[in-house]
Amino acid sequence: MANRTIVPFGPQHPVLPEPVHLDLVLEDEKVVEAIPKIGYVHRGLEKLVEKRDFNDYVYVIERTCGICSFMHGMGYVEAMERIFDTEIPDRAKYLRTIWAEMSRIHSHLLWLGLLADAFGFEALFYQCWRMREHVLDMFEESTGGRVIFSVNKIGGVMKDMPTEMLAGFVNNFNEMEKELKKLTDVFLSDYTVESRLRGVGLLTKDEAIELGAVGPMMRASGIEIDTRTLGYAAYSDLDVNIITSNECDCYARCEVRIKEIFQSIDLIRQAVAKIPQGELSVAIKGNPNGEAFARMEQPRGEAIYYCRANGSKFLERTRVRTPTFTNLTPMIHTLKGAEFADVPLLILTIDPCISCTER
Amino acid sequence: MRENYVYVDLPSELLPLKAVKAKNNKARLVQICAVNTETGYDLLYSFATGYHFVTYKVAVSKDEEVPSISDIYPSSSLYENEMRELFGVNVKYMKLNYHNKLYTIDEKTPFRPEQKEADVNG
Repeated sequence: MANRTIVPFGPQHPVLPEPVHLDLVLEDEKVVEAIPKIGYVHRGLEKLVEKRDFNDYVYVIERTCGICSFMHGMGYVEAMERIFDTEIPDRAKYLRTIWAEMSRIHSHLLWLGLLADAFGFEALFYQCWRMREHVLDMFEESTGGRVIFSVNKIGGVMKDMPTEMLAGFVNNFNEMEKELKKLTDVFLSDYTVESRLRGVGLLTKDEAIELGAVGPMMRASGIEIDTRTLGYAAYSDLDVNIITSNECDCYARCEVRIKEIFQSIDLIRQAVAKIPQGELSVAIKGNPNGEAFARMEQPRGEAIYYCRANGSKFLERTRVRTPTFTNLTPMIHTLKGAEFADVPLLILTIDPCISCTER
Repeated sequence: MRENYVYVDLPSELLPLKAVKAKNNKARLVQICAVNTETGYDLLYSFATGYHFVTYKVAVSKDEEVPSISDIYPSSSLYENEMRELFGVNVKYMKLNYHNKLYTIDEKTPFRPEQKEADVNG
């Protein structure tokens, strides 16, 4: 019988961008069980809603994470707008859509860089992060921030993007698209990259549904679900093609995310071409009363926001179900039976965001 | 917005039955969460099929037992462990029980109503 050992993996580990801990039960070099432990960056942000005015809470919730900051703010305000039964101006919907897709591009580029670093391809890592800097520059130009943007408010958005700025962004993305095509060849055709990603971390279509996978993790298993097709923000006016792969492995997850960057650039072009002129927000009066869900497609997958209000300025409950939280179960499943050397890649291919998970 | 959100009140004993029905209808379990109420908790179980989003609202008193649905939906384990550790919800028959070791936090059940009162009173 093989020797059975327990190896603690994390919370501090060179490959982990954020602290998550796994107790890996190994038989020789094979993982037979993985037990997760979270909470190293648990800040009780959901609890804080009891002590912050519902308007101020936008600033709290967008600090849930530095990568999905914009989308967290957007999810919360969309849920609150449903409680207030408010329709925001069309221009605000388009602006939210553009910023959301910019967030997806920078998040996927960040992830691709981390993946390249994990399998020892440092030049590729630098290229991805260099391109990501351009997106952060555009965020800074349009919102004033590179990490936290604070442009969402209940009833609309707080900042506008002039036509010239939007045209400039489209030009930047056109240039970026050319560079990205070269990177895509390396990620999807290079022998060394393929040898690390192909056939590793298989998650079948049935398993992905059963275990609650979302986002690229789910679409890489051949499931055509993308929350953007629900039509929130301005997505109902845009053509959103769901990107999937049937290979179900780490390579497929990489492929889906790369194609989603091109898709996001296309969505930004569509949105810039269609954005109407008009107001940025509508006034919200009184305190909220009622409950509402909102769901949206973050870079890591479907995120669910729930708010319950009682007529006072403090909400009773805010719940954020983040994509990484629900992707932990399929990740643990893919770890079982994997080689110990593949564990870092398997963790990375769910694109873990631990700040979001622990809130 | 094409989405359709539905809320249904449900006694806790019917929860496994509804979960089986949801699974037979190929619905995804999209989230479970607890909300404090005056008498205990509202537990919200949300399932989605395409654009249809249904949430079963299970009202339970503080220490009332709630059956786990992890046999039906394995993905519910993390949510159930979270409700147990943060709110102190008494979830029974969990397929995967981390025994209060999922969250590495100092305080026991920090979201539980008594805790809220203690926070307010300093």
